[in-house]
Amino acid sequence: MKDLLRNALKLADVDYCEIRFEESELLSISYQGKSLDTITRDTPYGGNVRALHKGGWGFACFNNLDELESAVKSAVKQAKLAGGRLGLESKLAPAPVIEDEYVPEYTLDPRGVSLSEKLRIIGSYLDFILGYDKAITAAQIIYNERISTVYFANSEGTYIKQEKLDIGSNLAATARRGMTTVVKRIGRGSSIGFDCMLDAYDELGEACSLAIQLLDAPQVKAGVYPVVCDPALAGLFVHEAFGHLSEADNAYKNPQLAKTMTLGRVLGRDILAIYDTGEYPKNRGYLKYDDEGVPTRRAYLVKDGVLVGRLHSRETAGIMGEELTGNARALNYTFPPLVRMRNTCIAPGDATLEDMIKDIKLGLYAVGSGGGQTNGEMFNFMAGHGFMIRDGKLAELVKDVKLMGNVFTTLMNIDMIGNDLAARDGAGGCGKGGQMPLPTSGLCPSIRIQNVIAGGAK
Amino acid sequence: MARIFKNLPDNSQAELHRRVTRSWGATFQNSMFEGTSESSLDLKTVRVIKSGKLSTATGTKPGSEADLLENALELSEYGTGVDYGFPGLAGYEDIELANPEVPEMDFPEMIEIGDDLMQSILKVEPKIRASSSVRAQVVEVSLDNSNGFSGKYMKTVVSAGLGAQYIQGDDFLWFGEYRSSWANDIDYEDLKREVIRLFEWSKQTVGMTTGSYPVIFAPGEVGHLTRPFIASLNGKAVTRGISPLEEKIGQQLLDPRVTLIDDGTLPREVSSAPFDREGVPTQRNVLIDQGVPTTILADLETAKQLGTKSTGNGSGRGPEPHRVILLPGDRSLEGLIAGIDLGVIIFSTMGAWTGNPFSGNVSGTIALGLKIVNGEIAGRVKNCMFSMNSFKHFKDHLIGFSKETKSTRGASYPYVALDDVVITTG
Repeated sequence: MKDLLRNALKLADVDYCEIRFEESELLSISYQGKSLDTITRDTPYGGNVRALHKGGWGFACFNNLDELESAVKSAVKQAKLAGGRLGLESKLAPAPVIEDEYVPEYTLDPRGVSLSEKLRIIGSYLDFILGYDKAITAAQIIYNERISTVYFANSEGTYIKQEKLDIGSNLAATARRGMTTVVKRIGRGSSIGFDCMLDAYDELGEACSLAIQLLDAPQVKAGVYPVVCDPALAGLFVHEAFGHLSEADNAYKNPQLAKTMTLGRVLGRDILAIYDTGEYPKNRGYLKYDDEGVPTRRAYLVKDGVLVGRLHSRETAGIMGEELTGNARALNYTFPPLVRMRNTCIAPGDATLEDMIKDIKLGLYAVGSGGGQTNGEMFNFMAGHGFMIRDGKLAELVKDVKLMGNVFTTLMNIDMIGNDLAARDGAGGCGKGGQMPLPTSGLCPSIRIQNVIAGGAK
Repeated sequence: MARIFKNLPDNSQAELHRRVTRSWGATFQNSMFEGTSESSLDLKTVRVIKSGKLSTATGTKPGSEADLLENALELSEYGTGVDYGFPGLAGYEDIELANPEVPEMDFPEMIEIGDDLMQSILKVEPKIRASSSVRAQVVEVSLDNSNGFSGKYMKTVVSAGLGAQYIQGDDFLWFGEYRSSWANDIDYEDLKREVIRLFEWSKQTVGMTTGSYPVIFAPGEVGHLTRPFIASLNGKAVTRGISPLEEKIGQQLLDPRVTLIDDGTLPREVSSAPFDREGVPTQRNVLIDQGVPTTILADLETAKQLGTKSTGNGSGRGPEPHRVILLPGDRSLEGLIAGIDLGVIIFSTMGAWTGNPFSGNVSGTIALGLKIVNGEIAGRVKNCMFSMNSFKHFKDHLIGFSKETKSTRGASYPYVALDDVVITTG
């Protein structure tokens, strides 16, 4: 493969060219209701060529390796067309030339676990959910396992063969009474082992119990509250509220945004530190090399409340004159890489949950993550459920907890950071530019945020 | 019959679905040309039912059909128990879905269209960061099974997007529109007019207080409001005991002005197909007729479980709608706006897709919303959330539908005006 890719790159008479080829094997298992719903084995196979010339990009994607040379020619032709129109200098931040073959150190390689054993383990969760209580009317289980070998070569001499594992799973219980339906789920995920799928019974039992209790819980009353987010929701919050805004492909050709996001700007209180990293192999955002062949590194975005960095591809780092971080990622071979997060984290503080709620007269303790979205300035994030906080104590359960904020006020409103730390993994992932779901995660503590808007009942 | 079916084991039936897609396009970002891209993908999916167990294998490797069949047969030991078979030789009506001029679109033409779109906004405000894209797609689909079904069709899609980001300090304004068609006949002038009108309306930010208001949802956002109905009238949700509408079929659930249709038979529509993913001819399904839920979308599996016939909505992953149509009303958008003393019109939201659709609750951040005062647009509202319940609001709080409709991502919706929507502000 190395010679094949390197020989093809010789045809590329442009400023820069790269080839990424991927062979993957996916296993998808889903249970719906009371039985196995689908079982699918997918074997994606294909690659792409990306070329850069005078600031303009060309991209060609293919399934047949016999078409590699014509894909190189197509990408080069497109790049010359684009570059001829732009006439700019191609700026890529210098990256080390690497030759490496990387295989993660697995804790439990899923290829060593038979399909019947996987089905036995996952199926036992179905039985557990359905047998929990008669109020539970259905279960939904999604298990996705992807093992990929990605070959990368560029015109600068880098050649990397990287093996990647991604496991993402959701286990959900549905309780229903008449027109009231409640779904509660837990998530599991890993980049190094099937062991993430073991021993989920205690957590599942809590989810089943909550699903039943939430049948009678009211929708949260719309309003503005101090909100304590548990680690899972804090992970979603930092991803939506700040992570996306830190992706430099928003700012690198946008002087107004670059000015708004000037390094050194104070965004939060001095207790706040946020970073994004390819570390933490037990989580889904683990990454050794990004999809431009750049080694990943921990990138601090906020330290002591001050904006200190952002996430980069080679082009955004080159144009903005900043250091590479290894954040160029593509969903698969059919897409070019974009600037994307990996594991986005908030550094822990020293507050306990009790510290965070004891002086709240009326507030909300929001638990679990259910998806979110941002437009850079405003963001939306959904919890799994919540408890009202009344006079410094956790009170009644509430459901449909959906929150929003404005990044420039909300980060400043984080006034306490917990000493707990937990990851947020599950099926699904991050979406951007039509590329979804990309595996991401994060390690975060609980956080307290003042003046958060909650949607809900009158 | 596909060659790979010849050596099927006893008690087995198999199906080969193939989707060959060629797409290409040009992109402009940050008020400048970004580049072009093209892709050719050949996705093959084999499904097998062996001894009553269903399994699936997919792949893109050239010539891998026999390997996929072997994979699916291996998996079938653990597969899903089913008691239906793939359909045999059956007729279906061809639908005009492919425009012969689309494959001829080239990069220079797309770059010219994209540049013209982008320049139209820059002429209005040079400091804006405009983006546009133009893409074309040619899709060839074939489906064969060992019971004798054999069908194929081709469709073409042209899509164009135009939007912009306008940042002043910590104030971010995003706006844009997207159009698609089976041919290169998108009304680009109308697209420009719509986007520029959004910008003009949004320039000024105005305050809003928490309360319940009449709200108009633009067609691009109506899919969030109909999601609880589509999800609940899905055969899989009904057979799995999740749907709250299971016992509401035939009952007056909503305002009689609500008629919701799924239609896969319309010619020259990007979401149509002569037959579904399982080889069943598509049809027009009236899901909600004048407020009464009437039809549950079914594929072969759920039809068997429900004791009905497939509605031609098989996707391989359960029933899915083709083109969702909410029938329009008789009032103009201007008339709907003019009828509101104090309210909001919402053009884009964030997070409205999250949450449990079976509860009927729909809420999200208003990404682009305009305040209506005394029947006129007063300016943009910020830092607001909306909350409503589709089951409740389409029953008791429907003001009306506009007569104008828009095709948006495989659906056709009017503007929808609802009363008593909760708006929460910071």
